[in-house]
Amino acid sequence: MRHIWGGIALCAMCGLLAACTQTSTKLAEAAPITWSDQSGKRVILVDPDVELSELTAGGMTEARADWTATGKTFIRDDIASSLQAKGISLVSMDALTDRHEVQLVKLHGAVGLSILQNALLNLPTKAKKFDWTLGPGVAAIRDHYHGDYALFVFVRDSYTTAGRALVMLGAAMLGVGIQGGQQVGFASLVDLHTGRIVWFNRLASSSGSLKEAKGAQATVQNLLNGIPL
Amino acid sequence: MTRRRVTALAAGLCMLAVGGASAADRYTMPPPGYHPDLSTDEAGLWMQVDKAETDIKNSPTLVHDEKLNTYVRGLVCELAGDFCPSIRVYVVENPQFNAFAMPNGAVVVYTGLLLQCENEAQLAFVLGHEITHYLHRHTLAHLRMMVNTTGFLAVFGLAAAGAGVGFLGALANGAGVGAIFRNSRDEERDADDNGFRLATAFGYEPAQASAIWRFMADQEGARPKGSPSLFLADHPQSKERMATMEKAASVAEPARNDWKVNADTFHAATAGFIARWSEDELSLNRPDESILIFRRLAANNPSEGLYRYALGESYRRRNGKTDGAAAQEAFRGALDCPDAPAESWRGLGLLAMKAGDKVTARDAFSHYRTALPGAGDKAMIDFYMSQL
Repeated sequence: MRHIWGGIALCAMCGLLAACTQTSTKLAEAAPITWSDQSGKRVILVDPDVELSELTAGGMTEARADWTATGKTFIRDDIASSLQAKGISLVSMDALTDRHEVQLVKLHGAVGLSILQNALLNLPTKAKKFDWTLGPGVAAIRDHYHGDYALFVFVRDSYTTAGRALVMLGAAMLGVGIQGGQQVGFASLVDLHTGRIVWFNRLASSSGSLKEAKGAQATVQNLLNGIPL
Repeated sequence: MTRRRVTALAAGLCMLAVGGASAADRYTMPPPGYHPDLSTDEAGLWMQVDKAETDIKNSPTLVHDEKLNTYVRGLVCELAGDFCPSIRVYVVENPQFNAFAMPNGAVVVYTGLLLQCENEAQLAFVLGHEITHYLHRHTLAHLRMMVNTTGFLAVFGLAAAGAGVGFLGALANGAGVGAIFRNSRDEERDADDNGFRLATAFGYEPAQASAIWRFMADQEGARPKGSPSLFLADHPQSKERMATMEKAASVAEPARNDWKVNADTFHAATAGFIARWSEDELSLNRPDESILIFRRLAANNPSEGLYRYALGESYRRRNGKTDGAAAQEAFRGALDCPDAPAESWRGLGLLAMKAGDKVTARDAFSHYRTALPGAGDKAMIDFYMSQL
């Protein structure tokens, strides 16, 4: 549910965008990347929360299981090869069954939402500081998968149906702009020693496609923009 | 703007207002083992609820007790027949009176439902209702209806605005919302009817179906005015459902004379949880409804001491003018029962302390300390004692 609100917040942030892609990167201060073993740099990928859907004429999003499966595979593979190029191996987390790990992923959802909200409306006590953390409990993931960092990815990608395109066209003729399909998401990197979120990037785009290899590559590139690895 | 165009638009509006007849038959679940084709809207729906199901599976509120799960699953299986292998049952600790079925075959039963039912027959009617939502693919039907309605409204609204009669678009939106709610209510009625058929086919006493709605109607009546109903506009009124089920029962009743309610099996399966589930109900902080629930359960079920204690707590927490006396009576009633929880003494102590009756308070707290020497609130009670 929190992710849904995260999505809504992202949509709001992107606003009425005409074919554009925006990313906004936040980097934690004084949190340099350190590897416990230089020869075996490992990043743990938490099961990416991805959903591809159709935007119907009336503005509802209808999830597509086939597109989602394709998109998710592209995202996984593209992140892996992007990190591979930097000498880092990507380890996919198994389906969540451990209760503590489930809670950590939920906690990340909650903190991620707070980060998104803070980007919209600055909390006075937080101001521009980027010092979010999941706490030292993340060690459970480190011990389980033997990696120094965890990567979280959230993407919602919707596609304009023919019906929606017609409605958009009709509305445009009346001088009204109506939202078509769009791509929103975020990625974050968590230090599995301290729990700190060392990097957070949000993405909002009215173009791009995760249904095909090339589009997915571009999306992953945007999603990983500024990652300090 | 010609008259003809307005007429055409108005006709469209009428279609929306009267259309959307129940299409339950079209959506009957294909034979067991069915998985929707990955490119369909149904597969998208399943994908989303699969995630929700995983959340429930990993939730700390999931009840793992094997005996209880076996009992509830057995009942669901009996009602679902051939579809039993396609259905997963989850008992979730949540004090609300609720159960729901997901379109992928996950059935979630809240412990609040198990607390408030009086026998297996009542539970069977609710489960039959939920299984029908799955078997008749109501969520899919509803999704398609929403997509069509919102799509129609978007096009209609544009056409109306283009024709210079934008107000018709607003009117259509109202009709559209009405149509969506009407569709929900139709699905609930279908689930009630078919659930009734399923449960009575297994010999569950027809009169128990309306009993559930009578409890609900009573509880709705007890709710402070202005507080929202749990079922809102997408469910028919409890009273209407009660009447429908009463009518159905009067037709079905003469068919046999060996109807079962299975109260004993039901109580055997749930008895070990009543204390905990009662605390959950109390934690909702809705004493008006809790009072009705525990009064009814104390009168009709075993575990009487536990219910009387919970009834006493409901009165004590509501703290109205006459509630002190009612709470005292309930606590004393609980202590007359063999299964009285020691907390009844604590309740009496707190009441007496509030009334300034130090002797009674001391006596009651002493009983509580003796009966539960390791109570979690021992330090608090010790402190009270030191002040008396």
